[in-house]
Amino acid sequence: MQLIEVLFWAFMSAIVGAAGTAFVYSNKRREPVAGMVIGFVLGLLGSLLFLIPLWLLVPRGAGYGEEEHVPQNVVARIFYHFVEGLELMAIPIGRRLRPYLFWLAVGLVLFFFAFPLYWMVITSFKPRAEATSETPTFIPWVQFDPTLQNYEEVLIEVKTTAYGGQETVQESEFPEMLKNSILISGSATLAAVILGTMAAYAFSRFSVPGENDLLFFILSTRMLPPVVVVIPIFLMFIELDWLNTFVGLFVLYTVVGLPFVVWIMKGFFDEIPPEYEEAAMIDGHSRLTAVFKIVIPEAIPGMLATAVFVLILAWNEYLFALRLNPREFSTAPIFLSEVIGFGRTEWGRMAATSVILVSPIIVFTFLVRNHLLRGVTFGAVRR
Amino acid sequence: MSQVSAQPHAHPRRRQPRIQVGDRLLTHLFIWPTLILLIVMNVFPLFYSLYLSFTEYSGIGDTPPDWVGIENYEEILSNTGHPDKRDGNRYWHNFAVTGRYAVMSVGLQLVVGFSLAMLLKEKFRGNGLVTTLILIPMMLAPAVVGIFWKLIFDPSKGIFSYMMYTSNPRDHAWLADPELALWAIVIVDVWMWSPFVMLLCLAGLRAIPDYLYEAAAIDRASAWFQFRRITLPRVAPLLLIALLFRTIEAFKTFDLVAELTFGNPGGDTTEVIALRLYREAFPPQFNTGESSAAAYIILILVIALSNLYIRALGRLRED
Repeated sequence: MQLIEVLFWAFMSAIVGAAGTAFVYSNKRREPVAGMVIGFVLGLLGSLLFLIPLWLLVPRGAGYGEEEHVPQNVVARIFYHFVEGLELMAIPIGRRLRPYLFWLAVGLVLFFFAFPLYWMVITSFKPRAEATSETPTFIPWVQFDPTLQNYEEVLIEVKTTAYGGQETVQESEFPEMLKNSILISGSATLAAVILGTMAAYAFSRFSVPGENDLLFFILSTRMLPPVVVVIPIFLMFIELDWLNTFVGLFVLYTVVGLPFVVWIMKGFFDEIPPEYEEAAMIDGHSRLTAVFKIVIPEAIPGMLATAVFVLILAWNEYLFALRLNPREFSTAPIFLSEVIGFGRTEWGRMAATSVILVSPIIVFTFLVRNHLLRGVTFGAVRR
Repeated sequence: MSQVSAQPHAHPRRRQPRIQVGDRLLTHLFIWPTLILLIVMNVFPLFYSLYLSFTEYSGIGDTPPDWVGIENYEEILSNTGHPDKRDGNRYWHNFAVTGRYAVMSVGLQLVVGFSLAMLLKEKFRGNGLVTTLILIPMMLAPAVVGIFWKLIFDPSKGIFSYMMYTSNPRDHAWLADPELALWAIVIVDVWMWSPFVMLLCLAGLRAIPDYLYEAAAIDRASAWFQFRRITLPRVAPLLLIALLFRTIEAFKTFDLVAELTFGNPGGDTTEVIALRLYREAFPPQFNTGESSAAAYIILILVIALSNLYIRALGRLRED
């Protein structure tokens, strides 16, 4: 018996006591925090009552190898054999349990991270009465009948019947916004990848005066808080008459993506040996044709992964879109604030909108999963 | 060399300068479009707002900016305001909320993310799938995440209260509770970003060669000793990156808070600085001058942190 074990078991008992008592208290509508404290103290003291004599009487290191010696004291011997028996039982049980505990932990983790997404998806298929019911339902077909009504309302039109039986049809603006989103983020991605790749190639291959300072400057623009930038950009767009236009957000998202592309693509180019182009140039190619024929084909996977990152960045952007394009050329995330704006909250429609916005991102995440690390560290860590 | 000698016309001394000029031209052609865009869209606006931060100006007014010197800064930094009163401009309150939020969420993210990495570094069937599934939240739009977590936290229809409390869940509206609202936002942020910490830690953990642990096992080093002397030092640089990056992001947090609480409840208990800035800069307030000054204060903080961050990245790159 070692001190660390005593502390461990005492702490575990305290936790169990705290959780149990808090649960009982909250069921009895008493203050659960008080129950937690009481349970913690009781669990700690109760277990120490048993553990301290054990710790005093059983020699340290019992059951841990050759150094142990069986105590002479009769009481201590009983404890000793008791503990030894427990350990003899516990070791194989623990070994057998370990994989199960591991899977239990993995399961819990998955539950925490995947359940909100699952909940969003099933909510989007629930009829309105079900989506706002106070007793939640979890399993489609068994507990409720899934419906596509929410998606119809989001993507096509909302039919409402007034008191007089008059039916009004309101067409949804969401398809238009989706189109804008695809258009703006797609073209901005293309522009950012092309321009950024060019700059990255130059930084990787040529000696640029002040290279490190320039790279630092480029990355630091990525760190600017959007809420700081949006104020002058807003005023600038008023001057340029770029509010509610395609050009405004297109240029802005290109700029947001650029630092990212430069840094990641520089990492990719650094991994391609410069001897490839040099050999091609000795064979009579010019620098440009060598780049297009030799380097770009090598870098295509990296460019695609980078493009996906920029696409996600532009697709998810909210603040600039909200402020700069609230009326014309609005992007899809803006629709969320519109759904929430109409008085009563339509959770079903909201969930359907979220699912539509989120599903391409999930597909993309799976596509670039091997490049995620490079992406989030701007190419600094490559695995 | 044989290829060069096969072309007797191409004199090596003449070719060399031509290529160099071409390369220099290409360098400029390749770099300047990016630099010009960044300067026009980022640097120029920032200088413009630096100017505005020294003026009394409203973006919708007809009056031109009126130079007031450092008055805006003085006002922001001097007026502490009483936390229970709505008078004064109370920027310090927003800084305090942001700081608390940053400490809480970044701290939890580091702990949760590191534990996740320790769990998922084991090799098991479906490891790749589980890892990718866990990584999904960090790729989602904060605005969307805010919306569906709002649904989850809803006191009467949300699943969170239903699971947490056995008694009447209506009494436990986290997002409407001045004490719990910030914690609710922290939970969402941890859900979203501890996978990011996990991703970085996993890279560190997987790069540790097995022989180090084997040698430690031969020396009968305890598990704690192995963790402290082998695991932690190897993951520390990546943890530092995660810490800095997440702290920077915490100071920038806007979408999530805007969707979940918009600064409420209790008036402004979750009003982080970015949100305050947004409210100040756009209608109905439209205090462009004062908000630019506040923006510059945030900017200086973020730039200082970014400096450390980029240095840490650079050190990692050298290894």
